[in-house]
Amino acid sequence: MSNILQELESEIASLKTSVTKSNVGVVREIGDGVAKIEGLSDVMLNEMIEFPGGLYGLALNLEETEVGVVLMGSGLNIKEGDEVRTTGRLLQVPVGRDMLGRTVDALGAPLDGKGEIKADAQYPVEKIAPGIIARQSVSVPVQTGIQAIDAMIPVGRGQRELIIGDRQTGKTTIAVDTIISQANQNRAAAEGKLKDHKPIYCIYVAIGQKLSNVARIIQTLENAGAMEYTTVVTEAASEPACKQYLAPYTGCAIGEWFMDQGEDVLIVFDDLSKHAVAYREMSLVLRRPSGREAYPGDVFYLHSRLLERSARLSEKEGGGSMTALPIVETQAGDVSAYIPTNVISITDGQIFLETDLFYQGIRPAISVGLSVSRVGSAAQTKAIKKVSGTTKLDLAQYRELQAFAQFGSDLDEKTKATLDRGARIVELFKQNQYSPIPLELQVSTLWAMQNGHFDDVAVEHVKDCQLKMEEFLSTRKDELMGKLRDEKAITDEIGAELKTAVEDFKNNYKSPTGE
Amino acid sequence: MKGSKDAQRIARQLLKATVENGEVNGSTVKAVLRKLATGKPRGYLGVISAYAHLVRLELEKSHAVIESASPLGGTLEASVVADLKGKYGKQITSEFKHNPELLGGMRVRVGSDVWDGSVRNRLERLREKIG
Repeated sequence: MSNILQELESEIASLKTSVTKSNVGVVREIGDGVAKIEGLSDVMLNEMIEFPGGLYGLALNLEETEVGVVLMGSGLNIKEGDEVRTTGRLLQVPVGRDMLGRTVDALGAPLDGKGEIKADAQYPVEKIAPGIIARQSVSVPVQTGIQAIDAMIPVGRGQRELIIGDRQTGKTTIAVDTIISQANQNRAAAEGKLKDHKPIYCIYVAIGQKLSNVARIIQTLENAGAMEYTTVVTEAASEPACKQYLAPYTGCAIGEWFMDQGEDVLIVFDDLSKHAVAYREMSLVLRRPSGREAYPGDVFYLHSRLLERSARLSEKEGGGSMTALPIVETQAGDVSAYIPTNVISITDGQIFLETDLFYQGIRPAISVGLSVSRVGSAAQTKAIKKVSGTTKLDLAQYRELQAFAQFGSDLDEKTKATLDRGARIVELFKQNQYSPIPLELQVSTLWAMQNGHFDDVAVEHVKDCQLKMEEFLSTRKDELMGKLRDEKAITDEIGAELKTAVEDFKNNYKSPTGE
Repeated sequence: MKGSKDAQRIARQLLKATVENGEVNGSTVKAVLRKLATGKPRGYLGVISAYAHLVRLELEKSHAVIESASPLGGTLEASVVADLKGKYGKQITSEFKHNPELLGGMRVRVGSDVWDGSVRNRLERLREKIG
């Protein structure tokens, strides 16, 4: 009791003498979520402006006699003549370990009703990306758990890999699968089953999405036990454009805190097309000049400064990393539209999803020809590198020959073999959603494919054979799988054991038709 | 749009000519207005309104609004104005307002700067601090 009184008295004493100086302005015009303010002679760019009633705005346009402020909430109670004041603060958000498992908005305020978030620090939403000296090259893989990606388009820690495709082609699913895979690995590492594994924390940023979709994704993450390693930042379609514009930067700030602690982070921006649309809306109501497709001139910088903040820091800087998986939606497969080309040129590669493949039942519908990872095999473990070296080439040859094969039935042996192998690889890479495959099983099945163990299985039964082999290996050959997991390479000894195990399985395997 | 841009540009030039040593010269303003009203150059109404806007903003920079919870009285008012003149180093016009909502103390606004020493402001800051 006396302590409280003392504290109160000291607080009052500290306030006693001071006269505060502030910088104020007057609202002259308001509408479309933008207020034009007269005055505010000391305002900074991107400074938070306080309106009556506790509403905040962001000073984005500093003009000769006016300041254009975008409101971060409903401006229904703001009138012309209202006095506003500068806060002297650039926009900051709370960050810290408490953010894990939580759903927050673009200002870092919780939306999940799980109580207050204890922040370890406040980070600025806009920050200059780490420089060259602070970085090191990408060499540690992010195991996405999606076989086609891990084998052909490897993603490394600190890389920016774009996921691009039409609507309803499974872009979000790839991102969610990756998050689930990280959670599975983090858990395995915590239980001591995964050697030398540095956990990856995940941040999922939903921009302008339907709330029902976000709720479904959160539910999926919770069901998979991934939510405890994940922060969801969401600004739904119903929120003001300003908050949608800020959401990815907020996510980035949350991730940067982990990166600065020397930890690894994966951040998903779902999706940057809607982000660009929100920014376009804001720019147009601020009366900034519009350019191509009515986007403002700095729409490239909008995304480049965001994605440049993903990095792998040098050991001297703590060795943390932030991997970004931005998502961009295309219209009718057109990758040459404005935003897709921008983001493609910024990122270190893209995973292109095709509607046609999706409806052929090839899911994930990854187009092997158009997908690429510019970091390449530097971000693959030895084991995967060994078994997947020629897979991309095999598939590319398969696609090429497939077109020819439709016209003729007389094919030479080599062509036939390439076609057979290709069809089986396609089957192998089909994968159910929300079920990432661990590294050791990916390596085993790819090894079996490379060494012709699937050649005598009918194409339509490859999937069944693969699933049963995975079950066999993970239940009956646990020790071998453990070795593969720890070594992350196929040594002569592991190779020999793998051969015996696969042959053992194949001898007892019966396809669904009993062959 | 072009017209209004031109008007803005001309108004800015006129303002530059009217401001001497950071103060608006009343007689020059009158002369400018007379010239515009008699000569009626193209788009002069737009120029006048833009000019009026700029002059108003310029005048506000050296205009002090002093609010207090209770009337200050002649000597105190004079000393406040003298202090402000010393602080800004230029002529300051002043306007005194009685505002009981401040509860006590004074709130001075010059241009977009506000010095708030009112009891109300201190209470609000205390509330923010205690949260």
